[in-house]
Amino acid sequence: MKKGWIVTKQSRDKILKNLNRSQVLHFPFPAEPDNLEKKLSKQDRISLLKQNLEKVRAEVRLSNRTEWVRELVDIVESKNISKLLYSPDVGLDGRISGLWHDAVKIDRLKTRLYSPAVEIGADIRKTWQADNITDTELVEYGEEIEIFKPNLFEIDAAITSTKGAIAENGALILWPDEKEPRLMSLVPPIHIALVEASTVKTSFAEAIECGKWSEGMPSNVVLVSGPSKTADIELVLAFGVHGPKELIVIIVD
Amino acid sequence: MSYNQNKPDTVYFFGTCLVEGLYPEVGMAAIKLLSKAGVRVVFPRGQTCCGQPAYNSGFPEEAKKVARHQISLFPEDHPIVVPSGSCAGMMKVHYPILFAEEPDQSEIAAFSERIFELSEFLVRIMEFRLADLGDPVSVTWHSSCHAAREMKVIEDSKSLLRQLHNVSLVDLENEQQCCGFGGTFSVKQPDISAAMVRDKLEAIEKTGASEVISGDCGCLLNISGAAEYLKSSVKCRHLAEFIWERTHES
Amino acid sequence: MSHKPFNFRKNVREALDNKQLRGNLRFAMETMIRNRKNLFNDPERLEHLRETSSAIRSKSLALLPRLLEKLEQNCHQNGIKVHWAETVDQGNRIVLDILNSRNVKRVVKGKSMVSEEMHLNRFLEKNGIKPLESDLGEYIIQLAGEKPSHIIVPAIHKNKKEIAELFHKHIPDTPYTEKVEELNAIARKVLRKHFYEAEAGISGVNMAVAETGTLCLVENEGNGRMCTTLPQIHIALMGIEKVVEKLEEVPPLLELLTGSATGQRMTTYFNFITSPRKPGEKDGPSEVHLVLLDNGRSTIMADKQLYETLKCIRCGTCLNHCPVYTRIGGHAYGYVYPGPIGTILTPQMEGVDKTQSLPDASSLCNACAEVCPVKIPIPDLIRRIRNDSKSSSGKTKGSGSGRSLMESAVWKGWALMNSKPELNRLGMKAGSLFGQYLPKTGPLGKWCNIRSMPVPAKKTLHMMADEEGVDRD
Repeated sequence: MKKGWIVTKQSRDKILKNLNRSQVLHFPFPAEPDNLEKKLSKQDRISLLKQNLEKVRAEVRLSNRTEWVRELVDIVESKNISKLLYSPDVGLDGRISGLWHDAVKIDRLKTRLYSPAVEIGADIRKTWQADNITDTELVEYGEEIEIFKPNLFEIDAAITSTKGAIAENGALILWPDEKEPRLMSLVPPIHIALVEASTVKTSFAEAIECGKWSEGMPSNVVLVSGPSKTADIELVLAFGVHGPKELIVIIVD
Repeated sequence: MSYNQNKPDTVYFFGTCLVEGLYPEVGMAAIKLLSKAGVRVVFPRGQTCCGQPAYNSGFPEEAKKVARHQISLFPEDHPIVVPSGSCAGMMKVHYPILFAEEPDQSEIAAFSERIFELSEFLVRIMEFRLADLGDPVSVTWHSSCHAAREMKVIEDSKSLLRQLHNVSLVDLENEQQCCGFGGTFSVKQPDISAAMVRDKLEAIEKTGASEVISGDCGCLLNISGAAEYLKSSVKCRHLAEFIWERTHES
Repeated sequence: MSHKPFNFRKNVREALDNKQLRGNLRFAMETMIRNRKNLFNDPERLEHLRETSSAIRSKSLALLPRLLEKLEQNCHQNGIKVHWAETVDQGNRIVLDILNSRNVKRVVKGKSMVSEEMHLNRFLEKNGIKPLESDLGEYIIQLAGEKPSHIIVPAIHKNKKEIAELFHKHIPDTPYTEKVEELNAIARKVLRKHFYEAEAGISGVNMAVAETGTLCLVENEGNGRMCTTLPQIHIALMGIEKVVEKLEEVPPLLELLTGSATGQRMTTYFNFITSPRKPGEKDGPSEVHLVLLDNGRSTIMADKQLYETLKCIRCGTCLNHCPVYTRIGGHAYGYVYPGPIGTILTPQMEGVDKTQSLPDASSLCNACAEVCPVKIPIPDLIRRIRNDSKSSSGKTKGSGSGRSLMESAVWKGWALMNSKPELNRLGMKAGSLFGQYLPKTGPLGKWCNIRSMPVPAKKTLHMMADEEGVDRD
């Protein structure tokens, strides 16, 4: 290993030295024409997102802060999900109660002031306990993958938050962390994702800029557009090849 | 004929080597069309080839030598009209690249600015109007690669055909795909070239049109040669000749 | 995998004789062309995107040494270990060392053209490790013992019957089925088990962002995410040219990459990997390695014309639009990168002496340049490589190897004929008199393989113009 490191260090210096000989000049960027980056209204962003997600075979449900859990119950019942992976302490945009505080700060209208915070984990648990509404078992990503792996591969569906979404791309922004590990959105055959309507951006560029991504990226960020798919055999499009077979998006307004 | 100050009164004509040796009637038709459009045509003696064959085959010095000879034959500041998208592309787009490192590159670039493909010149500069005197016929159109992608003049060529009210233009499948000529390509990669021209011929046959029209003699030489060899009924004609025959009073 | 000596002419003949291949290719390429066209339906916006992306790639290359150092520094800070490989051999050894020192035997792989360039699988297999290709197309060709024939859809030369046979023969207890859904389900089942057991995952990188030390991976299937998330070790392989400076430069490149490649506005997954598993996180690899491969790229960068080859983002659209590729397929090109991009990249990497008449395999029709998302002037670079092949003062590896005294003399004579009007007149005259009696050998023979002999006109245009009184000056 030691010896290997020396070789790669020597290669490094040689490659960089070679590259420093290049006389490539760079050319100025073309100006950004105004008409290309059009900003859409919130309703237009949501309908474009929905439309683009549906084009890639995602299921999209529009809901609100108080009723989204009912949509979830409907999904787990209709899809016969017996084990649902969730994170017990995550809010709609990935932070507990974060949204509620934002709402107070941004919007001083009384109605918004008293709008309930969506705490995904707590809301799910409450609903499941109170109503005894479904037999679907709730499972937590309890331990590190090395231990949890056998359980993870037995799960039918997982529900995660999102950091936002991109209307033009029909893509969700997943921002995995300690509470919502990376594989939640990949291994189970059904992925259910919650999107807070106000976090839907028009373009990818806008999402990067508004989210100040360049100031620090987490371990992993994934843009997801639809269930996993392939066209490797005769260009025939088929869904659910390695990742989830279904993507269900609940947009919470 | 009203005098239009945007329209030049004289143009040079560059005939191309294929027209010179194989298709002189195409050259004559082009010259007559230009005259009819109201411009004096000068066809300088001694012109030969634009130099493209050597340029594409790895012999830039030989290409330069031949190119310089042509440049020397067009001294006045008249537009130079070429009845071929490919040769026009060579002279307009590639001369500046070929001579990029030479001391007189700016004069060469000025020469290149004066190059026009025939239909481009007739339509955009002369605003040429046609009256069809021919019988009803259905034809299809093959776009030469360089007319389409270097000179970008396909719409001009087709607009001329569309002016002919007795001519119906049938779409050709993969109209802008290369016919497989490519100059020396056709003999350096004869098998691939053959596969390409076969497909082109097949697509032309499928249109049911009685003739295929194009603006480049290279493509026509290739397609008509294959049609004859494979005993296909496909007939090929250059745009200039086709138009001239239908629009002049004999 | 057998390693036959490269014989371009023979490859071409075999490919052209293979009716099945021609049919598969034609259908697939026409579909991909149509999908791209439908997506990019606003020419103005497309042109602007291409301008922008071309500028981003040029800038990245202009700043390449600085960006690589910055990438290395930021990756290091994020906990990604960076390795530099000047040659394919060094690259392979780095990967093997990482695997051996951790006693890894089970390896899954995502799609990576750089790994193809390294012949990594062959190397690892010789050293007792058999990585499993997990992209469906790559998995299919690995079962078949073949190489990819297309950058984006590696098994496009195979139809479902052939794939059904392969699965039935190689995967235990698999009934023969031609249903694409079922074939996919079989692959899913087999590969899930491998993902579950894998100790290391190998992937390519579509682009890396210097300012954040982030690796970007584009895919539809999810196998790439599996390879880079489930196993303890992730090894990413990247050509040194694939770096960009800023995160904000990613969106236009991504849009053009997916749109040009498959006509998709967006792939299913776009994966940004910035660090291994951090304390408190429950998954993700505990080690991430980035192997930067040169393999001749830094030499290409030294040429102020040819460097543009390295702007390539590997979308494969030049293959789809190439009238030559669509007729002979990827395998005929003999090396890793087929189509127009291969026609310029392969001779530079391997040497024009090795690639024989490969640079001639283009009619210079410009279809590739018209669609290239980063505006690489591919036809101009093909001409440049042809020049180098004929000239010993060229800079491409193996320059001058295509020179023959005969051909040089022919072009010298041609130049003389076409710059001396009197000679030209004589030549034309001889042509019109005797042209039809020429023996059908040499180039004329090749022409006449499928075409009738050109018939010189009785009178040249010069003669006709004189007769008709055209102005001569």
